[in-house]
This record gives sequence, C-alpha cells and structure tokens, in this order.
Amino acid sequence: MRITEAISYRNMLAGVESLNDKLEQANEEVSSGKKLLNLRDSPAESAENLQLNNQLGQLDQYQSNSDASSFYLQVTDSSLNSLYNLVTSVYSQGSAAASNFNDANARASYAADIRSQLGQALSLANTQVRGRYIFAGSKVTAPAFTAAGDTMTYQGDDDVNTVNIGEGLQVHENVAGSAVFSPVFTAISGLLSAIDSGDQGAMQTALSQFSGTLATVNNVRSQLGVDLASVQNSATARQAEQTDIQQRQSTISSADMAVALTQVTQTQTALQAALSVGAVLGKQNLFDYLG
Amino acid sequence: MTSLLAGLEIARQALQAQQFGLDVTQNNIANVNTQGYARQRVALTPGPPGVQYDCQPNQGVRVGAVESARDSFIDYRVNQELSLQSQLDTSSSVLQQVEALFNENSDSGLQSSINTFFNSFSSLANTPEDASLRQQVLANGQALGAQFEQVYEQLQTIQQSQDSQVADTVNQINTLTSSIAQLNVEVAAARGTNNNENTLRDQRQQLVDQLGGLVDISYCEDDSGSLTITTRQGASLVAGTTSNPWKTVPSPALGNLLSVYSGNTDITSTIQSGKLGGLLDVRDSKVTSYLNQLDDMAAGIISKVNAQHVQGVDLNGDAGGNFFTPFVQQTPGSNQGAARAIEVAISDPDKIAAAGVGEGSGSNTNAKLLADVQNQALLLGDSANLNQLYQNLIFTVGMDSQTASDGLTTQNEVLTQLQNQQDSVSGVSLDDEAVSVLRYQKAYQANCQVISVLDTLTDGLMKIFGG
Repeated sequence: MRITEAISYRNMLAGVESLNDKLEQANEEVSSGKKLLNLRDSPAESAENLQLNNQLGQLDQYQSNSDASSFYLQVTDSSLNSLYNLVTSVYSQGSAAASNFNDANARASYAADIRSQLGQALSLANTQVRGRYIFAGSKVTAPAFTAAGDTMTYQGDDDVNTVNIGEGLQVHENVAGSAVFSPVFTAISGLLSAIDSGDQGAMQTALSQFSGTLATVNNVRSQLGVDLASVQNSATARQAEQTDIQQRQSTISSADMAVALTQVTQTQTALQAALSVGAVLGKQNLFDYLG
Repeated sequence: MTSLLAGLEIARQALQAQQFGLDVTQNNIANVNTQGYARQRVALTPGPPGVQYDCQPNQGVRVGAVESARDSFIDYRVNQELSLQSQLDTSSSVLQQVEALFNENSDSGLQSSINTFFNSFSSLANTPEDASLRQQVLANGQALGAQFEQVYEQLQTIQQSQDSQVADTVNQINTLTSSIAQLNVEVAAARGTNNNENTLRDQRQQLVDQLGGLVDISYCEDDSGSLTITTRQGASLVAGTTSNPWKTVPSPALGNLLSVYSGNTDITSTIQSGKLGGLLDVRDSKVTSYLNQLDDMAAGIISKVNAQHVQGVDLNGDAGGNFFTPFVQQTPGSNQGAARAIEVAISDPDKIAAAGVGEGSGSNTNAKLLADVQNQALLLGDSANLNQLYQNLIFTVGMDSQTASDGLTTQNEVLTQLQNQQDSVSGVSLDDEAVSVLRYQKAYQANCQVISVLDTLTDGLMKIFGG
C-alpha cells in the first residue's frame, strides 16, 4: 500500500483520539468512583440499578412504616399493661368489698376507689397520641369512650389499621377500644352496681367476669407482641436485604479502582508512545535527504 | 537528427515538458494538505515520427495530458460510508443529550419523583388524619407533575432543535446540489481541453462527499462527464446541469414538525442515512417514542390514581373525587400531551380520600391502595407496572445510545480504512513527489547538456565555415 502523509496523520490522529477517549473514561471512573457513568455504558445494568434503587427506596419506606407502627403498638401495649394492672387492682378491691365483714360505709369507700380507677381506665381508653385517640378505631379525632355515670359508651368503630412493613407483610397499628375496654368497663360498672346495692351475690357474679376480662386484655397484648416481634424481625430481614442490594449495586456501578488506575497508567503510556511517533512523522521524507 | 537546429527544437520541447512536469509536481506538493485534492500526473508522449529518413527517431516529447489519480469505486464507497458515519455521529450526539435527561444513575430523576409521590401515600397510611402528611402528598403530586413536564419539555426542546437542523440541512443540500449542477456544466465544458478539468472534478467530488455526509445518495457519471445524483430511494437531487431543490413543509401529522419534499412528494420517510437521516430518525422515531412512553406513563398514573382515589373517603367523610385533573385524549387512542397534564385537582389536603367507605378519618384503607398503584400491573395491557415501564424506557434510551455510539466507533474505523485506501490512490506523497522532482530535474539537466553540446557543435561549424 502506498503510504501518504495524510494516511500517516489520519492514523495517528485516530489512535490518539481513541486513547484520549479511553483515558477520559478511566479518569472519570477514578474521580467519580462509578463505573456506570452513562446509561449507554451498560443499559441492562443501568435498568437493574434503577430497580435496585427502587427496592432500596421501598425498604426505606417499610422502615418508616415500621417505625410508625412500632411507636403506636408500644404506646398501645403500655396502655393495656396499665389497664391490666388496673383491672387486677379493681378485682382485689372488689373482692375485699365483697367480704361479709364490710358495712355500708366500707363498701362505699371501696366503691369510691373503684370509681376512681374506672376513671383511670377511661383515661387509658381515651389515650391520645400525636393527636389521635388510639383506641377509637378509625374515628381517631374524638375520644373513644364517653362516660355517663358508671356507664362508658364506645364512640369509635371496629376498624383496625394495618400498615405494610415488608413485601406482603402487614402489622396492626391499633386496637379497637370496643374489643378490649368495653368488657372491662362492663365488668367494673357491674361490680360497682353490685357494691352500691350491697348484694354480695351480685358482687361475686360481677367478680367472676373479671377473669375473662383479664384474659381478653392478655390476648390483645399477645397479638400486640406478635406484631411488635414482626416489626423487629422485619427490621433484621430488611437490613440483610439492604446489604445484599447495596452489594449488588456496588458490583454493578462502582468502579474497580485497581482496574481503573491500571487503565489510566496503561493508556497514558500508550498515548505518550503515540504522540512520540506522531512527533517523528513530520520529519521524515525524501526531501530531507536531497541537497 | 535531421539538423542541429532541429535538435535544438527537440531539446527546447523536452525542457518545456520537464518544466511542465516540475510545475505539476510543484502543484501536487503545494496541495499536499488540500482536502479532496487528487494528485496529478503528466502523461508525456513521444513527438511525431520524423519524415525525411527511414528509421528516423520521433521528434522529441509532447505533454499528452494531466491525469488525476482517482479510483471511482473507492470514491463511491467512501461517499457511502461517509453517509452512514454522519448519520451515526448525529444520532449518537443527540441521544447522549437524551441520556442525560434520564440519567437515573444519579439520585435524582423521574423515578425518584415517582417513588416519592407513591411513598407519601404509604407514609400517610401511617397517620391518615395528619395534616402535614396530607400536605406532603399534595406537594409530592405537584412535584411529580412538574418533573414529568420538565423531562417532557426537555425532550421536546431536543426534538425542536432537530427540526431546526432538518431545515438547515435541507438548505445545505440545496446549496450543494446547485453548486454540483454548476460544476457539471463546467466539467462538461472543460472536458478534453485539459483546462482545469481535474480541478473541477476534485471540487465536484468534494461537494459530492459533503452531500453524501448530509443525505444518502447514489450517483453516476454520464458520457458528458455530468453527474446524476439521487437519494438511494430514488429522489432526484441533480440531473445533469439541473438541480432539484428540496423544501421543508410543516406537517400536521408530525405535530407540525417539518417534512422534506422533493417537488410535491413527501420523501421524509425514505431518507435513510446521512446527517439528515440521523436527524429524522432521532426526531421522528426515537424521541417521539420516548415522548409517547412518557405520555402513556403519565396517562396511566392519572387514570389509575384517580380510579383508586374515588374509591375512598376524605377527612370530612365525603366520597373522594379525582386526585389529578383527568386527562382527555385529543385523539382517541392517543395519550399525547398527558405528561404535561399531570395536575393535582385538589387544593384542600382534607380532600385526600385516605379512608375506606364507611370508615372514620383515621382509616388508611384507601391510602395503602393508592400507594400500591405504583406496583399494580395496570399499564401496557396489564403486562407491566409503572416501575417496569420506566425501567424499559431507561433501557431503551441506553440501548439506543449505545447502539449509535458503538456503531459510530466501528464506522469511524471503516471510514478511516477506506479513506486510507483512497489516499493511497489519490493522495499526495512527498516521497513520490521528491522522486518526481529528481526525475524532472535530471531530465531537465540532461536536455540542457544536449543543448550545450549542440551549441558547441554549432560553434564548431560556424568557425569552420567562416568564423
């Protein structure tokens, strides 16, 4: 092939441009720490990276939901724990009031204490957190129970919110007051009615309802425990998943610094060589040797 | 040799011929870096034979013709490959601009806005009556609409820019075809006169190559030396001494983008490569497809979110209305413009229907379902959810750009090889020219010597006969 000056310069230019491209790419990888600088670098991995970002975002949202549900569940559990202690106390006082040795004054004193505790139970039932009455079902803007004498009337509904804390994993966020407080109020008001009337038989009957009431409170708390455990377990699973996703993302999009730096060095050497050859190109032709 | 004086005449002609050879060589050297210049060679021919004696040598040397070193097949191949290279260069450059709009490798972008919007429903589900969370949903809905609109308009800006370049490119094509037609006239006139024909041909070939870079062409030369040029699909550009100017006309079918007309025929869809082919492909096929996909996604979001929102109950216990202003198709079956039409229809946060029917304001039933719209396989004929649709778009943009970029790299190598071949035939080599200089110089010197000898002989004769 006949080689002209234009061919030599064109080949040199093409080689230098190509090496400059490679050097630029390698430099960008090193300076940014990223391998996927543009979508065209790997469309499939770019799309996968997007999907992984979505999954990480979803996990963050699940975490946020878990935090919210955990907060409400713990407040609910704390309230029900207080309720349990309170009901136990009422039962003790009710049992004492039902004794044969009590006169009317003593029973009235017991009744007054129990009424006070009934008020505390009402206060627990109307627990308000972050502006919502947590035992009112979905009617969270108004107190769950209203009092008329010893009778408490539920104003909420039976709706229970669930929130998503993982793929296909939901936990309860609240407990309807009707399921747990209504039996308590019924039992306590029945006991008070019996104490007020001095009917020992009725007192015993009312007291006999307390075991079922306490069992209900316990059952509800057990369910809360299950939900709280789910929240904690999901956090562990979420962290593991997050780590896996981040590792995959790193594999896809992070630059291998050793490779990138080697590429920079190699390309720089090749570029220097190409430029050296280019510098010689213009100096050699037959005219140089003609006198 | 018939006489000493006749010998002087032969030597004089020889000196002129060598001088002419040196002139041509000098011209080659002068044009060593001239784009499109084909090296020239002097064809020397022997003079006519002598007539007075048998076996008499020819009468010196004549300058036959100045020939341009060209391989028309390689020239044609270079032209074809220039067309493809130019198309890929244009496509690659524009698609890299598009890529930047969808660079979801960063932490911001349309996907981020989509996630933020739907996650705000999920957050609302945690405390559905919370005013700040409700406000957040509205704000994120508006931000989603703004993000869609921004990306859409940026794409349209790129498309409009392509459209402007289509008009400019057609103007350049018309200028070139007009010049080529004029050169056809001049080449035909100079043909056989040895008068600038090669220079005119060089100029014409250079213009033809420029034309090939703008649009895919076929060309052939007729007996008169004129070139007839058409597109590869047959649309006329130059017929002999006449050029056929193209025009651009806004096309309602293309949303008032420009169509290219040859006479009264719309040839837009027939242009395959060259810069114009690249511009039209990206404008009409690629960018339009991306815009359509954005429109479909936007229309899907509007309709599905609204459909779910009306299933719920707002904070006041009223049935939910549309969350977004409904999108009305201007053309049945087409969602064109939907991506610019995502507008939150409600301004009162209390109107967000987070609760289910018959439930209180603290219910999150509908808020959860609204958050889940993002994951429902509701778009593309129930085959893909919103995220998958967007990932497909990202993949397509990346793939289109990669294909153009890789194709350009390959095409550059192909073109370099062909241009090297072309230069190998037509290019000026200083080594060659140095040899030519030497050759003509030596021949010139030799002829001077002959004249010197003849002069000596003549002087001798003059002295013998009287001097």
